[in-house]
Amino acid sequence: MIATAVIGAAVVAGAVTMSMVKTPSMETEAPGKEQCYGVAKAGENGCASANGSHTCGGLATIDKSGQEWMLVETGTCLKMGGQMEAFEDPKPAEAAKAARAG
Amino acid sequence: MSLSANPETSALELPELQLQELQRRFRASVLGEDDGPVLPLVAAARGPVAARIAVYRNTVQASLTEVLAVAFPVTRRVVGEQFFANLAGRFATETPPRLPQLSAYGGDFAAFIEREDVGRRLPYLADVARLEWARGEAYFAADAKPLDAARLAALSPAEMESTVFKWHPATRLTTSAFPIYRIWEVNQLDVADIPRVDMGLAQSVLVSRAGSRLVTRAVEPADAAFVRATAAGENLAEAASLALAVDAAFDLQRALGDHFINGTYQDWET
Amino acid sequence: MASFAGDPPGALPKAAWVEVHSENFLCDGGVRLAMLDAVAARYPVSCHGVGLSLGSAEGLDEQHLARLSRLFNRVGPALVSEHLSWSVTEGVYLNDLLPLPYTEATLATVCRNVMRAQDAFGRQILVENPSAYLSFPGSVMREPEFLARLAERTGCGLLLDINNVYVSATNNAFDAEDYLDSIPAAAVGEIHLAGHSVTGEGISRLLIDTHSARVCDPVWALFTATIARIGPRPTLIEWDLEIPELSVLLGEAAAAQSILDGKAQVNAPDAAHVA
Repeated sequence: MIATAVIGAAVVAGAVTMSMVKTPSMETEAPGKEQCYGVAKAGENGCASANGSHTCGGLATIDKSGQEWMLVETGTCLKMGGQMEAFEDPKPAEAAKAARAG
Repeated sequence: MSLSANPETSALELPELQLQELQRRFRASVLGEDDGPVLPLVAAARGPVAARIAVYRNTVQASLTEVLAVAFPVTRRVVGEQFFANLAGRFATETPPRLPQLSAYGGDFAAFIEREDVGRRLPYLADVARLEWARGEAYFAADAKPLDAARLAALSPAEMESTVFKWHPATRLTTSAFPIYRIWEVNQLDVADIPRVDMGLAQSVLVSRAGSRLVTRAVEPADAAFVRATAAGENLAEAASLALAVDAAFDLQRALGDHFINGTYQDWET
Repeated sequence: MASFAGDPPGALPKAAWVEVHSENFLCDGGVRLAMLDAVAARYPVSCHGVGLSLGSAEGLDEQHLARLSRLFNRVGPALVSEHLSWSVTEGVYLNDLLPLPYTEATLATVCRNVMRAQDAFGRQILVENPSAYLSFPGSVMREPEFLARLAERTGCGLLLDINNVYVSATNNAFDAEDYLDSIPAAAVGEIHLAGHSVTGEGISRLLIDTHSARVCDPVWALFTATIARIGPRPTLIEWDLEIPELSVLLGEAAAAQSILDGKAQVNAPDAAHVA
């Protein structure tokens, strides 16, 4: 416990002091992707009805029984790899958890 | 309290319970279960009345699918538009919104994917959806003043080590056994050629808001441990120790610099 | 939030007021809310709700009322409106404006819900007529009569959507002019105009309120006649899908303005080519 605190204190004091030198303003470019891909449009309520072309379209008859194409993903998963055969020893889903702020 | 199937006798005075029953039947119809019970209660001036109900059904289902497509663009790109539309459509009818704010719709989508066949075939997909949901939550989260580094630097070492960093309301950490940042990155619209991805890499992704920018970045396991420790209420010294236990080479100074830039933490009250 | 009303084309931001969908701003923070704050600092704002479900048999969602109240306290809207429809039953939200049978029992339910909303918000709300794609044989009164009695009993105002009247009249075979003549002039606090789309042919022909096109000529005619009868009202052009060049939208607004100013004859849309 004490040892932990000592290690921590030494590291922390140095880190924070030094980081002052380069503390940027909030407007500075940050590493990583910061674009709001898709998010800006997220979740809009509206009072218009869906385009009339949907009226007689497939959405009225979503087939829950399944069709061939339902079983086949056609997106980038094929290019990225990692289909089931690549996961002969798949990691359990429980290992993947999302932590969130309270 | 069941309604007569004959509109002429059902209707002179629909009691209130019957309005509730009508709304129940209408819901079943709109969510694609069964038109039968509502048909006797509604009429079309011409043409089949089922086509009229379909307008409402299509509006509800098409707009929910669209909401999910916008909230989960990478998930959609990974499986393809048609597959996604079917997946989203089934989710929408099984798990319709509970809140009248569509920005809050889709929080259960990742868990739904996990239960589906596709979650087994593409075991990373549910975590990719979790990451996308985290970004949406961050976008709409409350505002807060970011942590003031100068104020922190003015503390004595002892005060500093006992300081507890509080997450900004927009901060979200998604930890996966799969390379979800890499998957997210190569599926952005500006990446034309999708490369093969090493699915053996585990990644943690930190989403935060810096000013008006939404930041999505992969963090090292030690930094993820640090961020997770602060969320659990550990003070700075304890969080740093936990990070060092994960990786003795953890560079706290650099990690904190990145957290300041990216708004991971909010200022504390005095 | 992209719809503007009233003013003729000119300086771009010269809108008289701005209408937003309330439910899109119930988030806790972030840029969307900041944008609304900036708009509210410059323009009168109308908060147009789509999720309160005034026709729910089970009553209103108190938490939703509280969230809306918080938004209204923040924005200070000039107008608050909702729809004569329902979307919530047993806690499930169906994101559409679903139709109601017009009975005494429904009127009692909607009156109670409108009064609850007005109490919670501490202000009058406007209630809008929806587009309807079917009718209920069980209805005992026409929609305008229902709205008139609702306004009389609750003190609410009406948001008259003339395109919705036209869409419903065509779909459900009633007379739109007759409908509009039955609306009490004093209750009307705002007018909506929009374009719709047409689907199907013959007996399958149906108008859908898609807000995706220019206001059609018959709706302009109904608008002109309505303004002549009740006088000018704040008027909004709704355009949400297949959004055109801004000049087209401004042209529609200019056409509406000239009718509001009493300067235009029935067939106004030529003015839409201005700008």
